[in-house]
Amino acid sequence: MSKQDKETTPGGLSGRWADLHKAWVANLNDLMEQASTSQKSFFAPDAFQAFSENWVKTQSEFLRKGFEMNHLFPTPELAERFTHAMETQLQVFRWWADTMVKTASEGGMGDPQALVETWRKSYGALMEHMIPTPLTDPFKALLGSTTDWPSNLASLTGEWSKVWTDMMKRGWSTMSAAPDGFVPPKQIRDFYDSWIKGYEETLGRWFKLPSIGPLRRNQEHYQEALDSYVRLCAASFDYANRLLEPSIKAFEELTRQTAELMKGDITPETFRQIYQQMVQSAEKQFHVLFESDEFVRSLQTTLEASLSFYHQSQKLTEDYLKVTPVITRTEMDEVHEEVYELRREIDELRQQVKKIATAK
Amino acid sequence: MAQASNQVWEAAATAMLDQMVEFQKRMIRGMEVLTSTLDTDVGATDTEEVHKIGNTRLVRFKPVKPESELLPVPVMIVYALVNRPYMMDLQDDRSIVKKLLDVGLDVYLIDWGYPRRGDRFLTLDDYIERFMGEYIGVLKARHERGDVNVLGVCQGGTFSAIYAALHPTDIRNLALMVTPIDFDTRDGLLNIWSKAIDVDLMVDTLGNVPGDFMNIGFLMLNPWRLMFDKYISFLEHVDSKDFVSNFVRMEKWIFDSPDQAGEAFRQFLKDTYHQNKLVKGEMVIGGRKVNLKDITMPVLNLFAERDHLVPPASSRGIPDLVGSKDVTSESFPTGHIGMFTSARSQKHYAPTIASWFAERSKDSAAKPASKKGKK
Repeated sequence: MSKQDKETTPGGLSGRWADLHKAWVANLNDLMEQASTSQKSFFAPDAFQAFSENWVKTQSEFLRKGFEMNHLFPTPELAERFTHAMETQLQVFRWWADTMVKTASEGGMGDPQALVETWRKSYGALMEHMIPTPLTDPFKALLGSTTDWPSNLASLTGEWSKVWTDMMKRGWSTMSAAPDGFVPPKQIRDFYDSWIKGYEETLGRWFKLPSIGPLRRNQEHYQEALDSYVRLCAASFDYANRLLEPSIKAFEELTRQTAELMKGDITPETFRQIYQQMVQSAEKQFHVLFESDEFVRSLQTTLEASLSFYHQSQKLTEDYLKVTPVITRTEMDEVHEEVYELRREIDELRQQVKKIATAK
Repeated sequence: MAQASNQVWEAAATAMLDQMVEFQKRMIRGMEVLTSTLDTDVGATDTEEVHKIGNTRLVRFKPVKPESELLPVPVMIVYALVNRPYMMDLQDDRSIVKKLLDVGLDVYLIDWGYPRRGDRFLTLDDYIERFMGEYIGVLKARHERGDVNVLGVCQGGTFSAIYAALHPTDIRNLALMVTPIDFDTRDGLLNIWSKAIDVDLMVDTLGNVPGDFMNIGFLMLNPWRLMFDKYISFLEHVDSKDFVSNFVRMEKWIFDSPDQAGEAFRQFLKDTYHQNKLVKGEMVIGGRKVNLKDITMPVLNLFAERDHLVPPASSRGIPDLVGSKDVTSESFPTGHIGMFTSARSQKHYAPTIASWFAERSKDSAAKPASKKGKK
């Protein structure tokens, strides 16, 4: 596989993912062996193989006994199809178990893409057994797209891991290059800017997927709330980070002034002056920050993020309250608005009556 | 040389120790003060309720002069919505109301109350046309006259200016204290930060804007002074009963911020801070455009030179914006709160307002208050 393929194709990306995990799996196996009380412990490959074989056998026996009870199924044909489907599922499980044993023995994860392919085929076979009528083309296409999701997940995960890895690398180089371990606030902000960009390219896209199903609306509110929470965290961090800079500048100024003050006679008044200097320096630096367009933008983003999160939380709360006898805020507001309009109308009518009475 | 240096440090250390001991003693005295009975009630002058609309009410301050000696034109104080109005009458020795009463003025005040959730749909039309209009009507009926004096404070001054422009015949004399009219300035942080507020999102989400939000906003204007230095200063004077009483009284007022009715807040922020419609003549209240040139009655404009809430640029241009020929404009070397509570406020600013109203409230058709008017 070429270097480009390794970095761009699902197979390549998942292969890189596998490489990252090989060492982890090897360590995990070692850990399991060390944790087991004997060579033939449950998690050792031989023991797991014996377990899976016994499990398949007992499941087969149980299902057969169940399928012999005719009243479970309206027709014998349906019972037979269901039996074949369950047997196929057992075969899938058998295959997974054998593969796990094999890869555990070899100390690696194997080829993730091959795992995905085999799972697709077994899932397809399962669906064919369960569904009696021939599949129409659109339905096959739907199944095909459904069975594609592991590949899509692998590629998305690969993309996400790339973004995440780049971000971690950049953050690490920033921290390690910092003189005396001090990282200027702006550099920390740059790091988190790339974090939120990474979020928007990866997990943020999941939260924007359209919802379907009976709980569609609730699901959508959840996704919106989660997205707004992430944005609130990012905005709050940026806002808090901006308050660091004037603090640092004020402290630097205070240090210089203190050094000057300490050159003269040191009395309690000296410390009073140092305190006054601290307050004045902080006041001045914060004022400069507060007037800046950058701070105003950060304030705006933070306020909007807070309100959006609050708004989304309210929506979720109202979703839950809908099935209870508790009146929601929206319902109360509707009543309040109506009362307000009625009051205005009464006032206007009073004025008119007064005018008529005065005219008479 | 080393001995001289040691002596310096020894002297410094001794002085520091003395200071620490003094601090400890002050703390003990302070605890005695804090656990004693403190007079922290707000509002020095008795009031009676004259009229009520919803959560708002019109109150009358008890006159210090006999009814027959009161000046015929009453004064109605219109305060801001963002704070409670008892700042005008905080305590005996810090009361602008008392100075007005001392010269024989009959003083009333609109108490906007604490908006509840049900008030979130109140608009500026309601506050200015309905409430102010009705209260002025009550005063006119009560005093059997066609006009009253109005003292507008801060945002209440903006409301008063709008009302005076829409109903000039209702107002005999208009005094504006630290009143923002021109909001297009970068001199104040509120003017800069207000541009960052998506007021539609805020009001649609929160309904009424919480008073706590306003408090935090005001504190953030100068966090070091207002959240840190102020309390250091408190500890330095904690053993003074008067200081502690005054401090607690101010704290009560500072953190007693009512919620802001949602729609009124939305309209105010958009029309003033965002679009500066008032000075452009584009503001619409009660279906009518507000033209400041229609303010033709005598106007007194007082503002603070070191005001961090209402920068001088917001108030300084009032004489040129109104149509009145009798405009007095004066600035004072103090801050926003200092205009109400400083010692200079009692000696100079409040008497300025009182004498200005008194000179212009002598009426040949003088009638004592008949206490008519419905509740």
